Amino acid sequence: MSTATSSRRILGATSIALMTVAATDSLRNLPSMAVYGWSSVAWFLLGTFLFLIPIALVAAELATGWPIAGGVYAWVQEAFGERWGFLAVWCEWAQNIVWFPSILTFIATTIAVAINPDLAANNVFLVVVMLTVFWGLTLINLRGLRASTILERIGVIAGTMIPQALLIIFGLLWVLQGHPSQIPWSPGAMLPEINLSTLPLVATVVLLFAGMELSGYHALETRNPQRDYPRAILTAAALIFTLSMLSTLAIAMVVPVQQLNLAAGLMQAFYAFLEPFGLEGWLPVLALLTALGAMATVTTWMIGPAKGLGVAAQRGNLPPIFSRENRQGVPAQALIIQSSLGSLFSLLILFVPSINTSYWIFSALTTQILATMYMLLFASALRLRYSQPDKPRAYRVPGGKVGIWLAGAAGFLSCGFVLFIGFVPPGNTASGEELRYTVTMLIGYLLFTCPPFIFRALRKQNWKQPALEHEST
Amino acid sequence: MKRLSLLLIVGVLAGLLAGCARSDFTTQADLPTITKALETAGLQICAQGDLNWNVTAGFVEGKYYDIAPDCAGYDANKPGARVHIARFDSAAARDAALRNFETTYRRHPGAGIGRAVGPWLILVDGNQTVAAVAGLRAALAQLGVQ
Repeated sequence: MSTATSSRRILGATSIALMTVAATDSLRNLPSMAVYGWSSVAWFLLGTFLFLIPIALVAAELATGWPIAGGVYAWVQEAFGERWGFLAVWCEWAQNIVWFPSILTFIATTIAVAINPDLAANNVFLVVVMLTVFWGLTLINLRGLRASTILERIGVIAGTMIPQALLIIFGLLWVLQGHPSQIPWSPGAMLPEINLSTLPLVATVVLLFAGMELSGYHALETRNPQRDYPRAILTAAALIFTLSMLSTLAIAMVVPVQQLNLAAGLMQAFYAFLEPFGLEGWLPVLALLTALGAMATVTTWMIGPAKGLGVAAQRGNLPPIFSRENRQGVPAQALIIQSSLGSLFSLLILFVPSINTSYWIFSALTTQILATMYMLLFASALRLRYSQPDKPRAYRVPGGKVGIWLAGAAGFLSCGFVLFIGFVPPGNTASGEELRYTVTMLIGYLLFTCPPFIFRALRKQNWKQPALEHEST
Repeated sequence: MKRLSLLLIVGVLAGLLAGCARSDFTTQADLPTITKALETAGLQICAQGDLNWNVTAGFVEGKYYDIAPDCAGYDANKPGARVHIARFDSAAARDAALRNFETTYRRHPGAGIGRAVGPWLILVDGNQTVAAVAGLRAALAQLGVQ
């Protein structure tokens, strides 16, 4: 290994674990899960068994067997070849562009609460904050992994894990002080209501834990992938599940149900949580911490897929502009193109009413595109067990072939379900609009997933870069 | 030819997605009209209460209703559906709240219902039964909400 390469190996198990928690754990969905009361436990368990555990196990095996640049791209490419590897990383990169506006809006509205809640409805304020934050984070990512890792560490600890821990502690205090729970307990209350109207929630809870694989993009910067990845990913999975479920329950027990609605915003739920303890004055602090946590999430999602796309471009799948790295080894152009498109989308959503109205559909589309990537990932883990059985893997999904089939099939089928349900019109679709919904989703899905095939059809010989670090690693 | 096909596909998609803006803010609506539409659609109100979204931009007033085709056997943990109806002081505030509801995190459009009627938002989240959702759909149609 060259000195240059070893000097770039800055990530240890703690950094990878925190990066994974930053990518996956979130305060944003707490009010919406809390409305399910005790049955939220069952929904979380469903998401954990169908997706979180399978993806954690599979990502750990792939990352230790193929600790090479490209992450998802490299793993799928090993299993199914160049075309599918490119499609997988494209899906993860492209869905970011549509997803960024929603998390940036969340950051801006949360910051607004710390200054003046009325600003949350002011589009000019929102767009200024969104673009400032977005391009600030892009600049930090351009400065290299060391800079972005510092932000991720601070952001996820102060902005996600500490607030969640405080919610859990105050929830416990609430119970111990003898206050009545807002969700009366009964054995039946734990059972989820599963019917045609709640099936879409299954799709939602499966991808609540999306992002577990993102640290795989940084294999070349990891000190000892074989040792650190399994530890880090499995620790992160345990942390994410425990913190998410307990903090959701804490909110459900303390906050009256009428205060819990995503339209009112996460900060409204936090206000209602702090009020009984006389701590509502702390809301602006909590708002700023929450915004910081969301910034850590954006940072993680921003750089990982862009790096993977950069490697795919080095292999000749995309024009060289996508693979150009700056001195810090960051695919600067891929990152800037991503941020430019994300900014454009943010502006469209805030200022074009028809796009604003359709954004939920766009958002659902990103879920399907992400599910496609995960299906390829689970299928790759299965295939590689057979096509490269003797490849040394420091970590293997336990249980031999049965174990990998259980994890791979659970993940593949649940993501397949997410993909399928995306084409089914929601139960509340207006009569006569069902076909339009399905056709729209189908066309949108094809449009988002066809560019890799178009790029490959148009590719030129000189797109491929001569020196590929990940091939020699 | 390839470019033309691509443009055509983008055009079709844009047309399909174009939709329309949220409900006109001046559309006349009030709580009694909305709750009457729920009852006309065969839904009963099993429980209700006031909303107090005091740190939500532009929130004026609102109520929540637990609804079901039949309130016998009502369970607060699992109502047929829980409907939040909230009034806002501007179209921007109403649309910002609806945007929060729809896309704060990745979730399927069937996981909740969010519709605007004039200054009001009608929001449904959490457990839902098929019968309650069918009733809601009928109520929304009566109100002229797509």
